[in-house]
Amino acid sequence: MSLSIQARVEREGGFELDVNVTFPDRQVSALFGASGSGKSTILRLLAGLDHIPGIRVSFGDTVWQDTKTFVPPNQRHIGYVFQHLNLFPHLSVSGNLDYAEARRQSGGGLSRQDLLDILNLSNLLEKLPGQLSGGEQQRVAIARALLSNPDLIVMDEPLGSLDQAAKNRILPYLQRLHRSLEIPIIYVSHVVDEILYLADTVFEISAGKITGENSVIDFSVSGTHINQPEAAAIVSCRVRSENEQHSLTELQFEDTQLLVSAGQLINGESVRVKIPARDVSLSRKRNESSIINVIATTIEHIHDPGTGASAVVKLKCGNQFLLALITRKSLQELHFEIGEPIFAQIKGVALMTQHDS
Amino acid sequence: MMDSDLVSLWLTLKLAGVTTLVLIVLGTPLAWWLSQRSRASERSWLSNTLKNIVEPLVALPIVLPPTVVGFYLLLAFSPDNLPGELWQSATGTTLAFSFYGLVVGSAIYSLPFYVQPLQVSFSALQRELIEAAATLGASPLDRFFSLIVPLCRRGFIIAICLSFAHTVGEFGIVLMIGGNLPDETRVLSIALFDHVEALDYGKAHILAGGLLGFSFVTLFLLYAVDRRWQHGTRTT
Amino acid sequence: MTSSNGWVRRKVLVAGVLIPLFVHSSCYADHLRIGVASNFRSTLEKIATGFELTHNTTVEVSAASTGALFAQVKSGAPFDILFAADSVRPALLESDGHTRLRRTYAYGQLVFWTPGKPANETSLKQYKRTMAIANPRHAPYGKAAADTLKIMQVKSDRVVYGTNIAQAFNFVRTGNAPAGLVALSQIKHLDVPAVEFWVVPPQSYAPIEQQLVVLKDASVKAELFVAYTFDPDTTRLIEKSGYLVSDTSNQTGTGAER
Repeated sequence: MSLSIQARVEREGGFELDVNVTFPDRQVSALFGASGSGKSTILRLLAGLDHIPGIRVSFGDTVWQDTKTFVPPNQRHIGYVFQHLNLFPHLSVSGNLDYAEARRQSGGGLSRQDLLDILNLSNLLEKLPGQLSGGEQQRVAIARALLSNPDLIVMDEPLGSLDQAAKNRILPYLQRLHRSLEIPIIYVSHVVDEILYLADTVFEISAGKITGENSVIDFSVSGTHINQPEAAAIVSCRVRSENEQHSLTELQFEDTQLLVSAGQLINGESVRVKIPARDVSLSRKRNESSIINVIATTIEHIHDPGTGASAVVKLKCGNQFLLALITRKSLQELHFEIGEPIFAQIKGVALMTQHDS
Repeated sequence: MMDSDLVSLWLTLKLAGVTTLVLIVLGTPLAWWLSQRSRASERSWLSNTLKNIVEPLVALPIVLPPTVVGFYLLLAFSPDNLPGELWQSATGTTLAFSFYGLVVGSAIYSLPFYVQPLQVSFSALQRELIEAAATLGASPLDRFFSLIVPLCRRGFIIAICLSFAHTVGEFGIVLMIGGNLPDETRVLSIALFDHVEALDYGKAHILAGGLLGFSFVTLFLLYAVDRRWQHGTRTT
Repeated sequence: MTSSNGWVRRKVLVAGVLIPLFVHSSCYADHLRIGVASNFRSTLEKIATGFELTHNTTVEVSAASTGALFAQVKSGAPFDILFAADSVRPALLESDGHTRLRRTYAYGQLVFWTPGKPANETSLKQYKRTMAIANPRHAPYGKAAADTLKIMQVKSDRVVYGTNIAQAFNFVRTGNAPAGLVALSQIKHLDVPAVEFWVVPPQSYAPIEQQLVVLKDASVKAELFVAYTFDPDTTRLIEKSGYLVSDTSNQTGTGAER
């Protein structure tokens, strides 16, 4: 079932929310924007935590809010993971989970044991929230939200209060969840990396308006964020074969191939691959080099910000795109042109181990 | 004569107990309502204005002399006026000179001692916790008992103890509307006053000392429990 | 720079203004301080006004409960005369050596008051509902009321006590008690219609003796005031206010109303 919201809200002080958006079913929809752009407001309206008259929210065939109706949040069966910890401080981890389980919607969903396994919580059960690290608390919060067997999940910058190391530890859990669940997930963040890692569809929001709706692959190579140092391209590949001798796996990428470190992959499986722009360099010739992934592409677009050291070049390969982060100095000296064939030398390839949607 | 003082003791405890129960039932929703202030918007203007009026009203009994409250209560209880008339036709007796009249007077007089600590405790609650419970499927009543009450335990205990102790010490109101009936309205403070007026200082000392001791012990324990709480959990 | 004469004159002027302010007023022989029980206050104020006119003495009246006045005197309050509402406390003051004169100045009269209904001996004896009286344990009118209820064998539903006669009166006045045994002086003060109250025959209760005491260190004018109080004109005034002045055993109920 898909979730949609139509809202036109005007507030004093100029903030306006003007959206008409439908989030697709069974996917991770990311809501991407800067702080203050309205992302959290939309989530709270979706969940019924804020009640502003005049908006319309519906989930599948059920109307959650319109001029005549308002379904309170406790009847919407939404699993909500807040940015700041909302674990009940007077209950242990087990107690927090009990709370959700006691009010669980009937009919399927992940069991308590499933969640303990997926999120690796079994050894934390007797602890109080105050005794857990930030990452552990969030895992518990996620488990608790899921234990109520919701019809959809909403996460409001769930990694926002974690350090990088904790984030890196949790992201795989979130990916695993996505695979185990068949319900829509709406994920709010202003961090591109998380979005690239988790999302299927990306909705960009700015100043209360939706400014773009893209698949994550398209999102990765377009938009203003690509000038950030973490810019990366996401490409879709298929597993071809294993090169056991060198512990490498061969992926089919458009007409060519990519070699990645061997992982647990199944032949023929579709995978998503993240290629950071800073790991891509350009060359007019195919050299003898230790870099094993060299791809023939054409220059699609050059973005030169005019100041600073770097520029981004967008490359087309078949139907997909790559990004390369190069110095402006090189840009000027090598005189790249749009349409020019060029080799992309890729140093690092990160397997995102997700199914394509 | 000692027997009648024991009856007074029992009456006092009964009055304080019943009044506290009444305050728990009526004062808790009032304290909750006052603690929830919505952000400025057209819809909440009326609600906030109402709260701005009710809040000082609730605090009035702290500053008003009990004789003022007692005076108005005596008038209100009179069968010549509406509240007294309604009570009379419903029960056949007057509110004045009855235990229930004292309960009404005490509930009004001890109201701020119950509502204010509880209101403070409620306002300190993190809203997101309650929202999280809502998203987990807890209805408003469910959230109240499963989450708010345990988290505001300290506020509840302070409110209950203060209103109980305050009612035990009540005098002015009972003097004005009680009528000094031995089995119904002669509470300890009135018995003490009687002894003093009759120049029976020996008995007066016993009662006064007892009341003083009780009040001190109550407060002492309250502070002690509160200190232990501060060092223990970090809930509100 | 003025002459020394001018300097002296100014000093004398200042002294002449300031010194009298600092001289305690009780140094003056013609000033009296009187403490009076609240229920007799309005009557006493009338007496005091009369006395001031004829005796060229200022009279300062303070009203409080007899108990409060008693406590104040024991702590050294500078009253000259105390008009109490009973005889117990005056006797105590005398036995403690605080007084040089003690005398009964009035007898309180008890009435049965039923607002809105006729009051008489029958209606009192048959009265069944709530009855308001002053506290018999420490209020003089209360003891009298309790005696009356016993003698008249009144079986009322319940008897509520006011802490003093004023409160008992108030209970009836506000309608919380349908009837009460209150003071005739209160009835007169309020101008209650005659049919609503019945003066209880004084034989029904021990006399409500209200006594005055002249304190040991009182001004010499105090005895003059006392004499004035027993003056026939003053006596008539007191009786008119609802009290008896001579011994109750010689009076009937109707005689006291005149």
